[in-house]
Amino acid sequence: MPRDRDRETNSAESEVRNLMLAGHEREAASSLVALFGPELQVFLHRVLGDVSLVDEAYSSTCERLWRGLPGLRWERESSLRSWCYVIARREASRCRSRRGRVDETTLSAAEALPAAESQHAVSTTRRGQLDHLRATLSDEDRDLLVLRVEQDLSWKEIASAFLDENSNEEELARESARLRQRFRSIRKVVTAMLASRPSEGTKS
Amino acid sequence: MTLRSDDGDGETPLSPTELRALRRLAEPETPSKVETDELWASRYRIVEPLGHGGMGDVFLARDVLLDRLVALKVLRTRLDDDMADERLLLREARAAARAEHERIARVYDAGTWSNRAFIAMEYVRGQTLRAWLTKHRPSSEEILFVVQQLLEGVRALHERGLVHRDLKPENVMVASDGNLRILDLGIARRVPLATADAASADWSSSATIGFGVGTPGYMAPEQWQGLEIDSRADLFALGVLICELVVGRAPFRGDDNAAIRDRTLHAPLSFDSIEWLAMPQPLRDAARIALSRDREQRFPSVGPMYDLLAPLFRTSVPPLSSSRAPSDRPSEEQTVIDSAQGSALGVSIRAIGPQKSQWMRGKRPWALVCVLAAAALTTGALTERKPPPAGAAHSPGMVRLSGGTFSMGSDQEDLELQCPRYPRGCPTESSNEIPRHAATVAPFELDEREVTNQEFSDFLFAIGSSLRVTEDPDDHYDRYVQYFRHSADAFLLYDLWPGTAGIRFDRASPRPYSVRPGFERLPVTQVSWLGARLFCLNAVKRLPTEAEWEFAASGLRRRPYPWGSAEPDCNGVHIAGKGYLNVLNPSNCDRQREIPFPVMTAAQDVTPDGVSDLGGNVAEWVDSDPNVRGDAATYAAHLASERPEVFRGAAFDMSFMARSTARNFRLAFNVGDNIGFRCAKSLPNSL
Repeated sequence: MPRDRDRETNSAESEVRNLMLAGHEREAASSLVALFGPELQVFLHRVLGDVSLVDEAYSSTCERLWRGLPGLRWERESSLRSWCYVIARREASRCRSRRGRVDETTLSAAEALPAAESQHAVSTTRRGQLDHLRATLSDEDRDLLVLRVEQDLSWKEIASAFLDENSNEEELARESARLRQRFRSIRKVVTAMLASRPSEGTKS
Repeated sequence: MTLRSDDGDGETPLSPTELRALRRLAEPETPSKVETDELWASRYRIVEPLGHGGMGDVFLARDVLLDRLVALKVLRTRLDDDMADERLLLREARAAARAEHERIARVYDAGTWSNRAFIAMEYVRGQTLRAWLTKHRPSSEEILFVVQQLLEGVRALHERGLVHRDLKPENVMVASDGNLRILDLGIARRVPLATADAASADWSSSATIGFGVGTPGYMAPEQWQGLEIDSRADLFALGVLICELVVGRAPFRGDDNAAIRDRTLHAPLSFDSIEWLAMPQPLRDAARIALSRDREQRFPSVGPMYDLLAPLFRTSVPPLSSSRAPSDRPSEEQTVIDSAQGSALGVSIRAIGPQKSQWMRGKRPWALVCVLAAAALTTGALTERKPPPAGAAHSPGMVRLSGGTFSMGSDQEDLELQCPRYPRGCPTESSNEIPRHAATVAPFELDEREVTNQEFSDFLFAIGSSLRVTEDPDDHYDRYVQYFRHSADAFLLYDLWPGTAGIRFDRASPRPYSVRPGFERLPVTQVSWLGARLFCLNAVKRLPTEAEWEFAASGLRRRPYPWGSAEPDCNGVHIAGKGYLNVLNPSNCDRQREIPFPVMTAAQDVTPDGVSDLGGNVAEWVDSDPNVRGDAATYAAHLASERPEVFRGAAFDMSFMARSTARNFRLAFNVGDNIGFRCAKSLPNSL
């Protein structure tokens, strides 16, 4: 994130904090959503994809931000942005877990076989390999990739988004290290996949 | 690679290929699909996909039980015991079903199948409003019709405690019967029902009912800001829709969401373009109020907005003729415009205009505007109206003419036959009537008299913000009213020359335009063709075409004069005066008169249909090229060509043009102290 944007964000966060401390909860909530709303919406688009889910997840996220703001602790630096992502991740997980159940139950035994065959067929392409790898990733892995690669968050912010909002600095550091290690692992697999030669006659 | 470096991975930066691959890994999975020919809920056979809505996919399906086509909306997500949201959606679908309103696509059935929610809705044949607008530029009458139907539909939703939240042309169907249906309540949310007195309800305390969802460009500022949303968000979207209908494009556009958001929140809105000025004042007021960024300044509900516009609405058949099948043509009774509403139109336009400055200052402008509109409805109709001839008039002050194919213009023989009767013969200008030719006009309505100074003065006051009075002693017109279409583009609208002008201007007065005492009922003169056209469009009318004017004067039987074949007499027709073209020159004329007579005071000058003063009093601007309407580019090109506009009929000082076929020209931005105008109106089934 460019430094100017960091400064702007910090300044806006301070404004929200000051409004909150002054007892202007409504104005603070409005400022908060105005500050992070677009960014969270993009995040939800990236992790959910489905417009209908995004709409609902974003709606719920904003509502929870608004309702949760009065109870927020303000001790930690840059906690506001991370806290927004904590809430957004929770709502995304809720929506995604719902969809996950759908996918599990839709595959009947009859459908499973052709699906498996076709998966084998496409997995010989690079795109197919990636899809296959994606299927093995957990929701947490995908969130990690989105937050790091797409949302451009710092490791500390990502760790905050993965933890409870009441976690301390030590827990944050530990989580940050764990997530970085996980990211490296995924990257290693991808790098190996890219280095391998796809099957002949297929498109990458 | 653009990853931040402040806390890097301690490894080599990601290559673009790695980044693409990681992004692909992060992509969400796509939802499962419903198959064609699938039997859904043991009842709906999927025919084909229709599209993708906000919440799911929409299919054309056949209800095998009732053997009818339905639109089947299948939500993408599955139900589960703890999924309150989906249950809420189904409840909302049922609420929409209970709405049972003709402007809302009906919901026949809602339930779950295979653990997925679905809604079976009315399948509306037709096209979306977006598609209709793409192919069609609506007239002012059509715009008002669309607005009326949208307001009816949204009001029905709000009355049932629903906010649509995503009103846009894509979510409105123009059905094959010409009526509108509002679709896609997919993201509609419940709101607390308004109290009986909506105006006094404390909307700021409404419960939270949803946050920033919707479509950029149609979302209210509070939707962008993620604030709680109430029914006033729909009113903002309605304002956007009205803008789009009038101007041809939505007001808040941009390359990306950030730009659209910025414009929605900050860009100034102008209602002074030629398209807006061609609309009746209440519609401009309604759009302006609906688009208030501060929702406290908007209408509190649909009701006051509807009430403001109600005098403009008609109760007859839809005018969206381009979508209407031939068999759907309305009956004769259906096309009749409700006379009470039409009566209110003329008055309310006058009454609302002068209040502009007041409602701009008021905290709740809608209230004042609505009160004024209501008051205007009770103040009576136009003052000089006489009872229309039996079976003729439908709109107050207008005469309905049947239209048809008639003989227009004159041949040389016609002129030679007529002109020897005149002491000085036909002037050379008469040659422009040649040749005689067949012309066809559709049924239309024509003002039974010319527009008066009083009416034009009210009009000037109503659009005062777009006017400027220029004083230039070196100019031919040394003091005149200019109408500004853009900051540097203006035309002369009215000449304030005090010798004959019926309207005066006093810059210091709170009501700067006033009628000279005694001139109230005189036809307005010194108006340019452009000004006359603007007046008529503002009154939801238009200038008559030249063919329409001549049809009204000449009729199917080719009357030499509007009243028939009798020679004019100054006791019965207001002609002659001081003008040089007094070819008739009856001896009993007032040769010193310098101003017109009050309208409808010439006993002889009335057509068999009841149209007064076509033959004399003042000549009248007509629209020689009816195609030059609405399209800004065409209109600008027309003006740039400086092609003269036609005026018809004689005047108090110009007798030779009393003949039904006589015509003359002047540039569109010129004026004459003996040229006025009247307006015409298409009938619904002739749009």
